[in-house]
Amino acid sequence: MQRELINSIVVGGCPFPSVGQEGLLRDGIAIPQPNECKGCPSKRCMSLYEMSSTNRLVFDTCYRGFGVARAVFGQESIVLNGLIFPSIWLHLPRKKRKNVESQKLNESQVTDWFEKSLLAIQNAEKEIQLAIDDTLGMFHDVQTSVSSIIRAEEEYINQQPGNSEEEKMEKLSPAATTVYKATQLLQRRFALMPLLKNPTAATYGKKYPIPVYKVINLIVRILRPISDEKGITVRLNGASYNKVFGFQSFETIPLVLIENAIKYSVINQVVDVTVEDLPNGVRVRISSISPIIPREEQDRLFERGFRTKAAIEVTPRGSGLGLYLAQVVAKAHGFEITHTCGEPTTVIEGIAYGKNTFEFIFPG
Amino acid sequence: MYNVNKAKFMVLISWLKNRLSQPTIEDIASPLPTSEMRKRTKIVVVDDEKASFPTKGLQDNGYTVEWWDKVNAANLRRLENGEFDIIILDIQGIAEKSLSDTGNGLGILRRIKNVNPDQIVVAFSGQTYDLDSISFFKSADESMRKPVTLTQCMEVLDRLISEHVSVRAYWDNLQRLLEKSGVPTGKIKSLELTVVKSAKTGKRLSFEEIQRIVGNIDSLLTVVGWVTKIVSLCNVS
Repeated sequence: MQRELINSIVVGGCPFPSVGQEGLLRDGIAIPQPNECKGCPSKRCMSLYEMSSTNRLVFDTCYRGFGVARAVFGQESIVLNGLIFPSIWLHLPRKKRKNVESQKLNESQVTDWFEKSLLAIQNAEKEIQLAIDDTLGMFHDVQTSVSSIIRAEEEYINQQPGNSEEEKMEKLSPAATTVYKATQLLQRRFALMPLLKNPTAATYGKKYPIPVYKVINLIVRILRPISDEKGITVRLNGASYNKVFGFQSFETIPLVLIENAIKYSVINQVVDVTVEDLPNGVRVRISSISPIIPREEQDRLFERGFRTKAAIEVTPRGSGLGLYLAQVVAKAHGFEITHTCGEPTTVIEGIAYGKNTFEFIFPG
Repeated sequence: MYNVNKAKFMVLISWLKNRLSQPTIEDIASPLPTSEMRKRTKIVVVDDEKASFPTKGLQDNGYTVEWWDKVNAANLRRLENGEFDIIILDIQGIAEKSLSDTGNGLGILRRIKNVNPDQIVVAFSGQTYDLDSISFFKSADESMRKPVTLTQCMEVLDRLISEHVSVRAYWDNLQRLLEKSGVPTGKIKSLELTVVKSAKTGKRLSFEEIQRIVGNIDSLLTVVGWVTKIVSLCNVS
């Protein structure tokens, strides 16, 4: 989210020339790139991106005598290059000085721009938070309604003949079973939303022994109405007996990964879920034939709000939050989800499909 | 001389035998089946929205659960004094006006823990998104998010019961409380004997009887609460 904000507020509206982390030179909207910078083979000013300094705005001079500055906005930064301050301008040859007269600027102009941009980003983030707060505030009423539905459903199941819950569930009609699973899914999706604002919620409650295979089996069963609708078989393989300790939030991870696999899979395909014990924990792998993710997008897969181009084409609707939240929960448990992508095996409506695998090792 | 020493020796042996055969908490600490534990564990849920919690579903499954919509000055004391084995607490809308100085669920939780640190309290709320509620969730022994299903509730409660609700665990809590209150070891031992006898005979211990043993300590009401809970859990043969 912040990267998009930086791009639109800072980079897009920057009055000064700048250089991106990939080496791309950008003209400022007021001052273009100096010719010397365009012809510079080394672009040593980019080393400012690696500089460790707690100062948000740092000035320096490049080896060619131009002013450079690094401005930090939260997790993102931008390096301004080719700045012609008065002290630098005075040392230029007379002829050159005349050519770049209009590009002369003071450090205070850069400082002023930085402070205004920072304020704009902070205000934008505040507005976003307010919008999230408003939504989550309404969330409470929806939550109350969902609770009522769950209670009514439990009462309905309780009225079925049978001595145990399993026996009673077997007596339900297919439609009632579908409603039950939909409610279970809805209830689990509710657990995801608060993590957006408060990732600490992933660690609420005490850690307890998680039966990983059993949890995943339950998720697969809850998602069956969705997978059946697409003719997708979710095949659960392996077994697990290792003891791993986790929070209630753990089931968010298989929920997101398996649901995504179903969502982006070609119809009538198989989603393979493998659970196996390792000496150091439990490994879970989820593989499916889904749109190939290009190298440049793979690094951004777990970024908040990010969706690949192919994902948007295949399924225009989506928030880009699922994988981000799953990773938040994974990190709260002391591990990370990784992704690997195979070679394309087929092309459907111009989109290349291949094997995508998401994997994590839950440490024991 | 020999006869005197022999007599003393026999008295010593007799005393030792008597001492060794004195009952301890272990005599009444045999575990009960899950169904019986569910019945004997007293649970109260405090939430102004009744439908949020599957009270009836739990009762149908053999749990002993009470539902309150509010906490007032009178029933707050019941929460503080350990009448319930497990307290499930919402965060907002549960404190009556008379408790305005206590505030919401967090204030009530803090008061309970202040008086009775070993009391099991479960934070129960949908406001896990609220950064102001972090203390509430972190101060509790366990948490449950709204909306919650009956199955999830049962899993959490059964886990809490198996980990925390037992004669041995309760006696350890009580012993810690008595030591912290400065009650001498001899009196603690005396209370232990009395509790065991009470559990075996099924005769309830009165407030006065407990007071006579441990003295008039500040935490006396909480001590009585723990004693009552221990006796109610024992497997009386």
